[in-house]
Amino acid sequence: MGDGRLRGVRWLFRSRSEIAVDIDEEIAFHLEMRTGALMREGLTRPAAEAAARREFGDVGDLRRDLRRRDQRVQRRLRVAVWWDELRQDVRISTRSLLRTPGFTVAALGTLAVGIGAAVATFTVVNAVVLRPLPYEEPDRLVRLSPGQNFNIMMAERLEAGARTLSAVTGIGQWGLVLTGAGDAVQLGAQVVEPEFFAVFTVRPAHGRAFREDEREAATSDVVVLSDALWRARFGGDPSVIGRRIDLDGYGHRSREVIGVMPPDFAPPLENPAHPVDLWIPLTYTGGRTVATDSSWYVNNIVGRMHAGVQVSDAARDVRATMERIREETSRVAEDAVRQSGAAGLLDSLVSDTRRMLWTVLGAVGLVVLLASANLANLLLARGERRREELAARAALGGTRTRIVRELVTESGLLAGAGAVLGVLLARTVLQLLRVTESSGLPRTADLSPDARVLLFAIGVTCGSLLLFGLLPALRATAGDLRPALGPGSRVRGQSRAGRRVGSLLIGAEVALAMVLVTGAGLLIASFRSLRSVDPGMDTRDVLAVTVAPSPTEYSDVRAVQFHDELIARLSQLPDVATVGAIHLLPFSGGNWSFPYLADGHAPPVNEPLPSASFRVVTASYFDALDIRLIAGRAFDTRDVADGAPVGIINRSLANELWPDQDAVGRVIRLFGDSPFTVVGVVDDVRQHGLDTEPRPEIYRPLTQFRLATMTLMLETERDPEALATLVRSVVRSIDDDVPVVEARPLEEALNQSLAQRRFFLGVLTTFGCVALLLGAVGIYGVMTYTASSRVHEFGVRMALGASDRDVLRSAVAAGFLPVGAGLAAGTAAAFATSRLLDGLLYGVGPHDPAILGTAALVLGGVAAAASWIPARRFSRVEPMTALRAD
Amino acid sequence: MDLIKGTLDMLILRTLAWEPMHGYGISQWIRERTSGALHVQDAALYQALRRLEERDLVAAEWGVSENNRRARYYRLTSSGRKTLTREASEWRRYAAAVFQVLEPLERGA
Repeated sequence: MGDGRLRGVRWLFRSRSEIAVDIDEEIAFHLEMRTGALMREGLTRPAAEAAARREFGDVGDLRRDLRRRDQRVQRRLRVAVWWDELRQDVRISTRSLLRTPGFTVAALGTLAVGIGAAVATFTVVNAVVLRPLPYEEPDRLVRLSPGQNFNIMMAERLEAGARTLSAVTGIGQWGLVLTGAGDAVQLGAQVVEPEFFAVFTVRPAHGRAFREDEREAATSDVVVLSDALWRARFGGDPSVIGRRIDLDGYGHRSREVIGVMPPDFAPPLENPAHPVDLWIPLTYTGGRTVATDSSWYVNNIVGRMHAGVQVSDAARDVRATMERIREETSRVAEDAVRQSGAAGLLDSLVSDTRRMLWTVLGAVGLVVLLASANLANLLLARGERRREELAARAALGGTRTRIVRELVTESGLLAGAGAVLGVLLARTVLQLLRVTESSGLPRTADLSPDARVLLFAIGVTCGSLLLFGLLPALRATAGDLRPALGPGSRVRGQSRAGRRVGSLLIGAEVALAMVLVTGAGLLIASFRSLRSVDPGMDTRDVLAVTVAPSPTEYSDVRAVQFHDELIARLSQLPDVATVGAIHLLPFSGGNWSFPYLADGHAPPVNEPLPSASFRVVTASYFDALDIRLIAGRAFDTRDVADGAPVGIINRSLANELWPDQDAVGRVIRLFGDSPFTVVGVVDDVRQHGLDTEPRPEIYRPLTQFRLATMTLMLETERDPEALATLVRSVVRSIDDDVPVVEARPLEEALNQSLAQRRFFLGVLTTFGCVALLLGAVGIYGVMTYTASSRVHEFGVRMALGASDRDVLRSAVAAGFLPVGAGLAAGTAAAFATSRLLDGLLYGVGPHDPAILGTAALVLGGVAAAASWIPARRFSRVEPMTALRAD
Repeated sequence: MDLIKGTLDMLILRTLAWEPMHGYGISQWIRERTSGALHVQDAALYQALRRLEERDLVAAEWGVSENNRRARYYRLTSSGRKTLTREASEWRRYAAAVFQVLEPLERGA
């Protein structure tokens, strides 16, 4: 298409009508010439014209056809010319970038960091918050909430009352022990109703779903396997369907496999720490009402709305049902009716983290702005340096548009390469971070970029390109370029407007960095004060081992015997000091909470009973974890199965029930009807997490509240992790079929409960450091340029008697005003935005003056260093050298 | 005699191998060279010219005709010249092959 340019601009930009005229003219010319020739052969004019037309064929058809073709050729030509010029621009820009490798590396690095951080963050935000749930029409899925503890009958009433839902199911989590298919193992099960499959519009890939009659306890001994479990434990053999397997728990010792879920089915509400391996039918005992049912229901209720129904309609149904139940029974608190309702399933899953994630995305926005400002700075300095070159080109006939276009191409090239590098960086960072493990965020297992991430990456790139690319290009070519060519032009140094833009950018960078550094500082301070919180127990050198003996095999007193024997044997291991057990691992998020009525307290009128956390422990538990006994005694051999029921309460509950009085000897009734005597009071422990205030708690001895699954705490004198293998073999020596669910240091469980905090802390601290670095580089760049352009001035002043120090002072002072203004603006901005971090702060206010001060000091120091180094370099020049530097 | 499909393009390229020509000139030249034996409809000729232009084998420019009229001149591009050389030799081989088959029949007649 090289010919395109030869034909000139007019030919290229022929309009439609011009094309039509040209075609008509060509055809007319042909017909006239042929007519003339025929007339010379002796025909009359009319005869000749007719013959010419006949030979020619259909003129109208041809005219239309040629117009279409010419227009197409025209378009192609235009694209070709545009492409040609672009290639030329790219070639020139590439050459010019390669000539200045220092600048190019700095620019690409800045961009890659900015875009990389933004893309990585957005990938996570997208995965957690934006990506729809992997079910059919996920917007129609809602989670119902009664606004309080609820029992199965209340759940049933809610389900029955929700007329806006086409299907609704309870979903509970349960642990079942599988034996006879490889090593004994505890599996995670979702306890669901037959409607589960309709709610999530899923059908087992093999076999069938639950039938209505499998709600009944007697016929509920069926199970649907996950695809992963089916392959891992049953070799993917379809004949397993119809077979009974040894699956102990939730009322049955064995179950018939009736189906296998499709491989791509993601279990809803799955906790990454407890993967779902199977589904079993939810059963309930008949003949109960909301008022008499004492089975506390810790499940979720999820439903599918009819098409066109709003979440608010479903919420109204729930509130109406709760209102009706409250009229019948005191089991519903007044508050609960107000707090009951429904939320979109996705909303309910990510509501905790959503705000945090958007805050982080906001922070990353600041990083991108900083990177853009930095780049604008670099380009501005480069532009000033290139004024001479550009002036020469303008003098040689380059139009301003053409030169701007070339500079923009240069920025575009940088942006494109920076974006590619940034996306690669984001991928690497996300892979290295192992986000799911390190953050505990839901839905982060799959972080592959989708169209939305791609669009975001393009958007960020274009946005920053606009910010950093256009301004310097316009600046570089602004005004009259010709003076730049005149003799001694360098002496005049940087233009005043150029200096002003530089100052503005320094100010903006300092302000942005101030906000980020303050945020990071607040989080670091929070984390430190959180780590210094006393959990109330000694978590060091403790191995936590969860064992799950079959609840039918080890029912009732046999469970006590098993744990007694296990504790006795483990205590004899070398280096093991004390062994105790509790039924829920602290810091793991699991909780049992029971309503109670304390003696001497009147039952609440028109309200449900208060509730307290409930834990079953062995006698040595408090000793093993050094939990302080405040009053009375710990559990001991007196507390036998058929002895007087006893319990221990924590300080919070004692203070709440009997402030300033002795709690020992009092009686508390669980559920209002099952009494025990308080024999001791222990200190509060933060077993729900370091950042959660202790709640009222009740402990009962294992001998009197018998459970099969317990977590043993081994207080040891050596590395707890090294002990794990030994512990497993001891468990196996007692019973091969008892699975060890997990064995890990208690400290690790504590750390994991802080994972999300640590993750956000790490992310924002990284942003803070990047901000400091970018800010420093930016200031350094501008100051270097400003100082270098004043070398001549410095020379003059030193020749006139100014000292090194005077000159140095004046060079550094140039940076003071913008840095100071930036710090002030940044402090104000930090003050206004740090409230967004509220959810992550602990022990520090969002406006902690010490932290704001420290951040300002650090930033000021970095800024001072970044402006002092170049200032010193250029003020040390010999006066005569400086004066000759033209 | 009607044209065998595909030959028109080659005839045009051959015509333009001499010098740039306007559409009428090409039509005239083919008529004269074949003594009117080949019947080329002019509309088809112009369509073929546009086709060749789109394939970048010929290029068009406005010029002034022998009788001082503005006329659209077509010339061979370098890739058009290459195509002509290649297709001409293919045609010669093809024609030779066809003749070899036909020869005995003509002798017998």
